[in-house]
Amino acid sequence: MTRDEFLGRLGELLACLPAEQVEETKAFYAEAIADRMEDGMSEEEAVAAMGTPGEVAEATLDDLPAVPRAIAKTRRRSTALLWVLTIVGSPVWVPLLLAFAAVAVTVYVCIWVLALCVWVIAATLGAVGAASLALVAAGVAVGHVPYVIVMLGCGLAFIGVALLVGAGAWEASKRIARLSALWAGKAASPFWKGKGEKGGAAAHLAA
Amino acid sequence: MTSAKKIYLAVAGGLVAAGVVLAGIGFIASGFDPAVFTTQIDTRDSTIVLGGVEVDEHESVPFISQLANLGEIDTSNVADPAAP
Repeated sequence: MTRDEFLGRLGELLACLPAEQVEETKAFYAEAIADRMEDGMSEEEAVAAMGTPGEVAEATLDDLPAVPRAIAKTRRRSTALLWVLTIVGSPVWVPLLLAFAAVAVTVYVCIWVLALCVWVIAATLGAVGAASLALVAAGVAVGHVPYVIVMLGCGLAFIGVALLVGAGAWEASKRIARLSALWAGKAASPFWKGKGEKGGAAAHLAA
Repeated sequence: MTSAKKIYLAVAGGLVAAGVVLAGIGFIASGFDPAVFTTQIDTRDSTIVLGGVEVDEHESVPFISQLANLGEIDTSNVADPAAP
């Protein structure tokens, strides 16, 4: 099988995918074949090293996230079947999708509420410290020295604790930002695949 | 850990330490009276008690005197004059 025949057959098998993705996959395998030919293989040997177009198409489809994969495999059988399943199954998949989105957003919000709680604690401690320092003025006005010293001490201590809790809140916020990004990636994984993840085509070639 | 963070934590820790020491000194100066840590403002009868000592002249205490003079806020049900 020549390179053009291989790529043509691969394009036919991946017709269920968006044209841009098909071209990207074909370009990847064209480059892989060219690399092998540069290493001394003949065109037929290089094409044979890729595997059959069917295997390559399966590997490409298997690399897709769950939802696009199911759509692509159904579309490959029949576009009409895809539309029938989409319309007939809408009473099931629309509520499920909405519930999934609601849970994903709720967990995301809950993660950030945790960070907000730590900041609220820090702000409250700071406010108590400021109020204690304000009471120092009242103590001075009435001439109650022990009260002035105690309120000054409490004010400074509360502000110090607020600064320490604020530092902790900043660290917690940074960790929560990473956690929320991880969660967003996990929540989107059935529908979308990150750029940094290893492609199925590359994994197929490595195997 | 950066030097700015070290300074920040040192300042915060210093404030806490200084505050605890000052509070202890004030507590000792009061004769170990726990009431020195309390502040009471009663808006019902406009009394102000700072550290266990009642303030007679409210006007001498800034801000707090305004709170004390708020008066009692009536939260009971509004009575209908026409009701039997």
